Amino acid sequence: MPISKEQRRRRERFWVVLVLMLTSIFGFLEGWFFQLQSDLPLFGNVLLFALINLNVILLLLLTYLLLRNIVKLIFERKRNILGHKLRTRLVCAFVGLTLIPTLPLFWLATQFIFSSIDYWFSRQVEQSLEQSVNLAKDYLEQEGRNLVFDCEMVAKELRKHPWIENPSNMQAEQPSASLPDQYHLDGLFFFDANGDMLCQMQSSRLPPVDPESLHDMVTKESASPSNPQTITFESKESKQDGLFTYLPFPPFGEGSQEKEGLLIVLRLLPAHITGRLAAISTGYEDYLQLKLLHNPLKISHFMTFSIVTLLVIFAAIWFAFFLAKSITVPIQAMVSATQRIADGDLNVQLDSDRSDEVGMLMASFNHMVRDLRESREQLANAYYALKQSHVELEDRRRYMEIVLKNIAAGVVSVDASGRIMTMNKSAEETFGLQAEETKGRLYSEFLQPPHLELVKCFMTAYRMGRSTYLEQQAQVMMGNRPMVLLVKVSVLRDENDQYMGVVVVLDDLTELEKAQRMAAWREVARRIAHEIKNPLTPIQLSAQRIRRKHPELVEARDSIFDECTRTIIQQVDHMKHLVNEFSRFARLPHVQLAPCDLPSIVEESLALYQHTFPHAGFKLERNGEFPLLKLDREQFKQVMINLFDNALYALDSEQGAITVRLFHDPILKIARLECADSGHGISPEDKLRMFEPYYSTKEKGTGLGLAIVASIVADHNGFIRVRDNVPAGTVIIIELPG
Amino acid sequence: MFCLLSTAFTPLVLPVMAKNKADLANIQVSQARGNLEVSFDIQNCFTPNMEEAIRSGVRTTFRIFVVLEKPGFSLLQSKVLDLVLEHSVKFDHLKNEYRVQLPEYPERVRVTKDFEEARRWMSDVKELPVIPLWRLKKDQKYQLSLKAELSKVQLPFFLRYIFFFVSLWDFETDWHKVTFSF
Repeated sequence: MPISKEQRRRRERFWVVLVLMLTSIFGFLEGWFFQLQSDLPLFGNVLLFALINLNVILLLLLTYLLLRNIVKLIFERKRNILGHKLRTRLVCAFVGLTLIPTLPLFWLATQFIFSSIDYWFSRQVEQSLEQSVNLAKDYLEQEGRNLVFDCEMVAKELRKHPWIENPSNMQAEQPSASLPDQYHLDGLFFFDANGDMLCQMQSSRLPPVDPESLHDMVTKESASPSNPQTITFESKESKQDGLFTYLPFPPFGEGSQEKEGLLIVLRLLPAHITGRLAAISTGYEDYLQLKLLHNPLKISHFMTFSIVTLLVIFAAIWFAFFLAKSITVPIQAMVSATQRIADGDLNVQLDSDRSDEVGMLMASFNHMVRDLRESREQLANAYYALKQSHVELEDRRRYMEIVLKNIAAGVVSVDASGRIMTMNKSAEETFGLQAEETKGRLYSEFLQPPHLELVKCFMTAYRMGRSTYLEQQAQVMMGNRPMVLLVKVSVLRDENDQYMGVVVVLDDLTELEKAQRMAAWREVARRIAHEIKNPLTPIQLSAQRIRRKHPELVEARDSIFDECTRTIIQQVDHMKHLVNEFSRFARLPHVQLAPCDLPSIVEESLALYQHTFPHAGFKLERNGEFPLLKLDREQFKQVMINLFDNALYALDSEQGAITVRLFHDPILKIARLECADSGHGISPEDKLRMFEPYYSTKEKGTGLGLAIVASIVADHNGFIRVRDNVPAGTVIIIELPG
Repeated sequence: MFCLLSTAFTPLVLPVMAKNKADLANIQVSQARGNLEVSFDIQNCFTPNMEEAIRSGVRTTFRIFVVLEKPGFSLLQSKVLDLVLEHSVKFDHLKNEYRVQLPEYPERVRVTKDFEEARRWMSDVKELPVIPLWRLKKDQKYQLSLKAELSKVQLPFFLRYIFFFVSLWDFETDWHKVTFSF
């Protein structure tokens, strides 16, 4: 089962705390042992060794953990991992804060200990101890000299005693038993030359002593009589030290002139004195041993302080790492989460089981992110709905735009302040304006005075009737083009009945009216032809019959009969011609379209007139290639003839110019034919009706010439219109699909 | 820092290295007074520090190991004798004399005021009876192994921790082996 990061961190923390605790406990135990000076040499050594080594192991473990953290920090710096700067600063700050007190303390402590140790081994102390030892030595030497002196005195006493003459005589009186007391001796042993003890005197204080061994010590160690030796009497209860010396005794007794005896005297030293001497000696020895360990002591204390200092520093560094981690890890997580949020990922959740301020901060952060996520979801939903609505609106708007664009009627909307808001394509064509140019500008800037009069009429009607819908048919000039428009005005009001402007719909009725008028005229022509033509033939036949019946009357000179019948016949012919014209107009044959070369038709027609009417100055202008057009050749010849007739009439037999221009627009696929004359021109009123039947400005004209032209052009799906020529005259323009 | 630690703990981790080049010399194995006796000298066993310590009253003890065994493969060797002797010296400041205890003179302490003599007593082993001859077999090869070392210096307990950090003095000779037939 893999160990999570958190578990591993807890385990590390546990080990470090355990190490610190164990180090402290063992250090305390070591201190306790040193203070109590436990008298367990082997066990103490082993225990001390174990404790110190355990300390060292623990210290090494702590060192390992620290080095690991330091190496990790270095790697984090190299890899530029988020949060390493803060962690480095915190660690450096903690190390600095630790070193500032620790190093001076370390220095002070070592200096203090060193100076204390130096003070222990100062010359004064040594001299004092030496003097006390010398004093003890002097005392012992003095005691020794006293003993030697007493020994000599005892020897003198013995030499004077009669017993010495014959020591083997048991009957002789031995030296006084008070002799040792007299010289403050505790033991007196007198040996002959053979080593046999002759006399022995002991005080009650002297423990049992073996004189033989005493004799051996004196003789075998070749000790000097002037240098007393010490002897120790040890028992279960007490320990006593004494001094003994000997003196070779001159030959004595009968028959033993060359033999020397041996006198050994022994004196016990006072117990309190020997105890003090031992204390002085031990103290001095301890001092010398300590002095021997002067430098090692310093080194060992230095080592101890170093270890403690390192422990403190390491512990502080580890704590710095721990604290830095506890601060930087949440910050790192929050920065990372913030970056993710900045990148648009709101599914961020910080894991924290801390209950401190950082934990609260992370909980607040999580709460904030959750709120943000919910808000964004709501916003997204609202945005989606809005987008849907917008799409629908846009679809509707586009649909409306398309409808408006493709609608035949011109639509113009004006807001409450009179500014043009919308203008569809048809309206653009009608007014000859661009919607982009007019948008947001006042309509009064674009309308001509007659148009404004019409607007005034509408406004007057609205004020009077308060009707939100007004409709009126009007004949207006748009530029130089007469138009019949059905103007429908709708007043816009919002739900609060606030005036928002108007929508004007312009239905172009010009062509419709023309067609209706043409149809009406055709019907009139057909009826006239039908009603008039029928009686004409009988009238003409009757007149001719009268003339045949009455030739005499016809042949009579200045005969009224002849004149009248002839007039009847001529007028009837004229009327027949007129009726035929009407009839032909009424019953124009269906066009027979075939590919034709329009310029050649024009040239053929021109050829008929150029020679006949040289004053007219016929001229043909053409521009580039002209494609074949689908035309009814015969009918289009008729068109050209009618146009030329009208142009000649306009010139009124005077000098002038009749110019025919041919254009072809390959992009728009329109072929345009313009017939321009330099005649007297046409009034605007005439322009409106000049293509209507039976409308003529000629005295004898039928008024059907241009009506037929317009009818033929319409049958070819073309358009015909008229405009003024510059500087004088009229231009009739025919546009045909090409 | 780690180097400092390593340096600081070296005396703790490693065995004590401050040794003299002490050695055994003049080894003589002989028969006398019905015993197998051995004599030899311990050379270079005293250092100035050690002498100073002895003069300071530190009891100093040499441990002498005497092992007598029948030669053979290591597992088949049979020990006849495994003996440890101690020569110790202690300086008495009150009397300015060195008191030397030797196993050769078990009944008494040898006393001298001459340090050279005390040194000689400490380093010389003279006619040390090892084993009675009757315990040895005729025509049997024996191997006598000898070694000497300085016993750990006995300091007051509260100062013993010092030796975990520093080494004052020490010596230990190699094993010297003498093979003989009886």
